[in-house]
Amino acid sequence: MKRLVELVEEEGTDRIERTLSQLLRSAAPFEIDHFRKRRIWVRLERRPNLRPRAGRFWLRPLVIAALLVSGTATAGLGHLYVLHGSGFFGLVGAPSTTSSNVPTTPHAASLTKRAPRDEPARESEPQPALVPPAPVASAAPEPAASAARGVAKNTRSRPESSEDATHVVEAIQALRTERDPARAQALLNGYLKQNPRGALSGDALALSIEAASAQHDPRAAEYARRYLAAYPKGKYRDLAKRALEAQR
Amino acid sequence: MEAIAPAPPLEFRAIYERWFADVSRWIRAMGGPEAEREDLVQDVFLVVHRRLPDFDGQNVAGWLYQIARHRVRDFRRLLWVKHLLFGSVPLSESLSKGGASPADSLETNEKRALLERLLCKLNESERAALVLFEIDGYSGEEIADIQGVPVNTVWARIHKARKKLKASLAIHEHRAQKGP
Repeated sequence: MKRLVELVEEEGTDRIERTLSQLLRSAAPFEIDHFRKRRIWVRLERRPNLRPRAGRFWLRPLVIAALLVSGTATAGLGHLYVLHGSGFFGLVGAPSTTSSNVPTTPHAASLTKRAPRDEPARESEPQPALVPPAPVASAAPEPAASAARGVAKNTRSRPESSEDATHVVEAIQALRTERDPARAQALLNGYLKQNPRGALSGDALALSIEAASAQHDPRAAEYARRYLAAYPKGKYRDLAKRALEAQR
Repeated sequence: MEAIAPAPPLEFRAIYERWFADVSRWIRAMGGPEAEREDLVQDVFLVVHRRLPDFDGQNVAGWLYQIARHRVRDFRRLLWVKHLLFGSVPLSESLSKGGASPADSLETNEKRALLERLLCKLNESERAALVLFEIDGYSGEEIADIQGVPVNTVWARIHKARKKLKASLAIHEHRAQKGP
């Protein structure tokens, strides 16, 4: 029987076989890691009579179950936190605790305690006569502003969850297929502007270095610096360093 | 009739030095992921060390292969439990290589990820036979020797694996053309 990669060189092979052959050719060749070999040997020497992690099969599901329980609890808390915003822990944005100029009538206190959940209901109901309207109105902007600050803070700290990778894919096509580094550069800039900390930011920066270098653009060094600052141990660090050296 | 001379006693160190690379290669062919490969290889040699006094010394490769097969099978069961609990467990290896251009690296990684997904649909013996034959360059006889089966069985496994891969790839391409 011949190997598929050899069969493809012959006539009469179909497209699927050719694709399969390309996939098989792309597989990483096996390389012996001598450092790993030495490391395992040292570990074996240290515990030669030890059974191969007996009970590992049973221990791991236990650990997984524990993680599952704690993960579910964390997810539940997180869900509550998302529902209630930053006022969940009563530290920021809770109207009753932060506003000192709200009158301390019993009814007002009960209203402010339930404030986050009952806000729409309270709006639809007529205001009780006990609460003077002016102080409540003056107190309202502060929680709103702090909630907005909380949302803004959350938005800043949260990574982009629904980013569009189309620009990067098109940039790769522009760079590799159409040989148009200027277009690739523009597309990558668009992606990086929209997703400065996106999942493909590292790849986009590295592609930007490549596109700028192809155009002899001095911005290649700038991209390289940005890449090394963001990913000092990234997989394209050699490329970035080469771009910096070329600039010098 | 001549009596068969007993095989000379094997030394653990010698076995380790001679077979480390092959065991690592087999584990990879069976689908042991890169992140766990070191632990799997270590476990295999721990078993080897324990069972060496009882080994008859006839077919070292086949013996080691069977131990590796059992370790990977246990690992897969564990992975299945994880998959059941967590939904998705990353199975593909980290195949990126430093120094390649970003575009090339992305393309190659995409191909390798697709190959890994297709190979996951094969059973362990078919996958190992196919990978050892197509990627690692083993001959059918060598695979038959280590798997402990007739050569024709190896050819049948490779043939079946190819057919399954082609079918999976055709489905994948059809879906890709239709779009999400």
